[in-house]
Amino acid sequence: MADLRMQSPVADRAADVAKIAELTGGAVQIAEVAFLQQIDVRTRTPESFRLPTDPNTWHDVDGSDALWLGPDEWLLVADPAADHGATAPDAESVVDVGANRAVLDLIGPGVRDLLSKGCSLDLHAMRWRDGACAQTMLAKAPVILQQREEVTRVFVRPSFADYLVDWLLAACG
Amino acid sequence: MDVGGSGVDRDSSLGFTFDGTDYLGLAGDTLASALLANGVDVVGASPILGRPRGVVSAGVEEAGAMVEVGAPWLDPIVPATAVELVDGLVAMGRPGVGVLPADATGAQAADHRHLHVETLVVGGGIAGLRAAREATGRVLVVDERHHVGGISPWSTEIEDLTAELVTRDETALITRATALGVYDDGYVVIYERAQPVARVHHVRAARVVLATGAHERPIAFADNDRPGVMLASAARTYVEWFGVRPGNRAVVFSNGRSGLESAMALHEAGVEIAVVLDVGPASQPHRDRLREAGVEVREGWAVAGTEGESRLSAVHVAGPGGESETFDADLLLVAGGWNPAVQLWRGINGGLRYDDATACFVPDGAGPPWLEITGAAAGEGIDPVTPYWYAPAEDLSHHYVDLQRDSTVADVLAATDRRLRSTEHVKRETYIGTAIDQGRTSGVLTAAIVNGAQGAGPGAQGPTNARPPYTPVPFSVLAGLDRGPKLLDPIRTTPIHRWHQERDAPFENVGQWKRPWYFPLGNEDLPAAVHRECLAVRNEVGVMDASTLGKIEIVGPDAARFLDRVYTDRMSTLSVGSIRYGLMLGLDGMVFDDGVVMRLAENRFLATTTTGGAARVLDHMEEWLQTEWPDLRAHCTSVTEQWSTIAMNGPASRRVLEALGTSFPVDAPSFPFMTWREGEVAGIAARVARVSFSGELAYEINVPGWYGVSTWEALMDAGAAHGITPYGTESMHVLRAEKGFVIVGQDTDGTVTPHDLGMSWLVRKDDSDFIGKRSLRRSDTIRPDRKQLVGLLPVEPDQLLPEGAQLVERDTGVIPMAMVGHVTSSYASPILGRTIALAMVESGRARHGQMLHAPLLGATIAAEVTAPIFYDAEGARRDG
Repeated sequence: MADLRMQSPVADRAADVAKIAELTGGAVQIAEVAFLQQIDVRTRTPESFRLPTDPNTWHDVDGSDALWLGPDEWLLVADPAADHGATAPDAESVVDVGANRAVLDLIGPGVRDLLSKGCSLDLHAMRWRDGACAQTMLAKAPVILQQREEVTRVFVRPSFADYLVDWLLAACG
Repeated sequence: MDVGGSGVDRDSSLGFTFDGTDYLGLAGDTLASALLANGVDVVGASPILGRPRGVVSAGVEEAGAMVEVGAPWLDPIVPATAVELVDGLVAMGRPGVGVLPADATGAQAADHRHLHVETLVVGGGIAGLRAAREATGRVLVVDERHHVGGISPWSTEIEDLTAELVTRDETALITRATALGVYDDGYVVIYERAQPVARVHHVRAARVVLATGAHERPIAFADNDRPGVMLASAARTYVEWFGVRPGNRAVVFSNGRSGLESAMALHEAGVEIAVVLDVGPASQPHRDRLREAGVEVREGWAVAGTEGESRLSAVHVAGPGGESETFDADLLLVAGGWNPAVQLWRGINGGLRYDDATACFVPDGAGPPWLEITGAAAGEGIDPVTPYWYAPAEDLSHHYVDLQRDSTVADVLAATDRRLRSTEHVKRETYIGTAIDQGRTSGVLTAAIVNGAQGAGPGAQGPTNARPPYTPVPFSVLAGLDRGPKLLDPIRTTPIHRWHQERDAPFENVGQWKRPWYFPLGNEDLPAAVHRECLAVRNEVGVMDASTLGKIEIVGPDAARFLDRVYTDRMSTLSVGSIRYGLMLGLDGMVFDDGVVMRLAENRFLATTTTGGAARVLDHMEEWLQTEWPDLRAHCTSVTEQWSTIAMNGPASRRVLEALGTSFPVDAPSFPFMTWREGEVAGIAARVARVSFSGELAYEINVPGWYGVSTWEALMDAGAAHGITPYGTESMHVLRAEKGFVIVGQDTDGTVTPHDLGMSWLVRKDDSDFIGKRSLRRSDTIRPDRKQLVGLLPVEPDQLLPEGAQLVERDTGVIPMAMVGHVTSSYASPILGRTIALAMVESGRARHGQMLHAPLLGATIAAEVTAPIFYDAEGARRDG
């Protein structure tokens, strides 16, 4: 049997995603980050795993992004090739959610304005900075937002990816 | 005219069309000011009586001049006073009621934005701009007009404040922007009339300052709706701001100081003032000034009525001693006092009190801590007046209260005569306040008439409540981008969706999901495709995309205990590697959802839910964990989309799986029914479960979502030799009905217990508790005559019972008949060559063998009651 190929949720919308840079005159560029490792962690002792305890923040833990999702829930994110992502802490609950969300990276001076068309969070540069993350809605899609330096990362359920790309195209238009 | 006009640019002329005639106006004009400047005094007709109506005000309180805008944007009904003149504007007079265009393609487009500020100021008049100057951080000022300054935009303080504010980095000033509503925690929705794309700002403000000003109100007298009768302050605005004289010779009728001030301003602008009738509290300096200027002022005189063809030509006035006189005039300016614009304040439950000196309702007490109200809206600087609501007369049937509803003082008194006491009831009887202005000018007057008729004090009852939106907003603006087939509601698709699309599968909506309904070959219709698909599953092998099934991982040391409480059967005794079907009940004991539970490890379970129930079940589990059992160390994580799920059903499915290649044996003894195995399938990590929703040998293959489509394609290749057939939700429904498997939400409706379904074997009888257990012992849930699940076989095997059909014991032909149940599922079964149905029937299990009838329009279908299983009752087929 030939090796089965992996297909990312946004793969066949790549042309549409690329068009956003053109529509915004370069103010927003979007790229899919496919096949990231994602681990959902539940624990009552986050300190022992050096997980962030400030709500809606993230930081690096051994090469993984550790995102605070709730008082007892975190998301660990690592590159597909990294070996730390797979070795999640020995917490009360550890669940592989790598294929459970598609990931889009947004960059450019127009990103905050674009997102503000569908997201009710305060994305002002003074309030939403590197190190911030949040579970929220972008238009009618539930998402996780994460600010990684200049990049705003959007995690979305693959089933909503088509909708979100359509919405982004409309919001840029 | 040579004075005034600071609000318009006389060098910039704009062409517009009104009622088919071309006119010229100026940049800065409203449609109303441009019409007045062009001498158009009759703008439209009244809605019920067809009386001519003209411009009454200079703002959103307008009740007379209603128009439809046809270009360059569409607005079916709007006051001419709230339409900014633009080049090419096309408008038509309308009788108070708008008509939506049949074709919505030109509906106003809008962009939405979320905005966060420390201070939002609603209203860019003097009070608002002063509040903005004092505010720090991010400040937003919005004003509904196309200019700041409120009702006195010409003041130099406005100029100075604006100049200062525009230099501040974090202060924004948006005109043409109306706060439609103020909601909890400083959430304010603002509609900005930008063109060609309007904007909606969703503002979250730490502090909201309402500086919404006040509206002058009229006084009712006979024929007070005649064009030429205008609010005095509005006439002053037309003169001073727009540079338009709304008439040549005016009578002024005032019960306070501001009417006298307006009279002076108009006199200075060259409007001849025939007489000033002053029924207000003594304001000697104002009267003296007018008299020194040669204007006649009559104290205690009032307007009794008007005359004119359509526009006003004469005013009848009455003296305090019963004298009467008539003045020729084409303008009658009325100043009846001021109503603070408290609509937004009231909308968030701000209190009101009646103020005797100013005869109006002003904010009372504090609103929510983030809300302030200031300026005229707060009652500050409102003129003292002598209340004068309507001119006494025998006949009050032409004293108009609400011009947009042709309602009069007589109408209000008729309502109170019929013992309607509340202004809310009077509103519904007379329709006063139900037009787009929501009673801005008529509400306080109506309340005063009602209070007076009941002999109560003037503030006993206030005006009826105005609700958001503050002024009308098109639905298309509220919708913003959320329009059309793609964006109205998200369409959720599985990783295999494109494959289904390429096979031209029609889709069925299940919640937000699109699921393939059937896969037609050639010109097949639904029945033909379903017939072929079902037989393929029964005789060979079929494959279905089941990725939409909800999946929840439950992990933690107390996961088993938790699941025992959530399901009616026991999950803690399930061995690792095994699977159990489970029912979940609500607290009422009714079936809430169903699915299978796999034990993945000692402290790790995977539960599946119905497609539509996934979010509901997760919420249900979280609610119990978080609010009732926080001591349980169990966590729920949605993994619905982590896995692509492919259900392969049919006697040949084992051979297809073998051809695909697995790292574990798949023969029946090694891989028995209701177990799962993990390993490689086609070279990738997968979890395969032996569960069956068709009764056939079946394997449910779960792979990470990004392998979904390639696994599906590999399966189609591997199964080609066995005639593998993709099938959709319709065949899945037929196949499960042949086996009597229920679908929660189709065969159940929230009133069905496990016992009703004949699934008592799934409900444990020991002492341990589970959600809904207590309700199963209620007298009503143990009644023997409850509706129970049964099968139905129509006597004529080609007659299909409609789902939802009611069942009777005997078709008496006389409606109503005693109904004993209803059909929940009904199909033509290809393998049985006949129709079958499932039904919920009173005492159904005791009726097996009995005939029931479904009386339909034009026919009655007779059917025999059977056990709810039609095929392979002994379960011989599940192991292939």
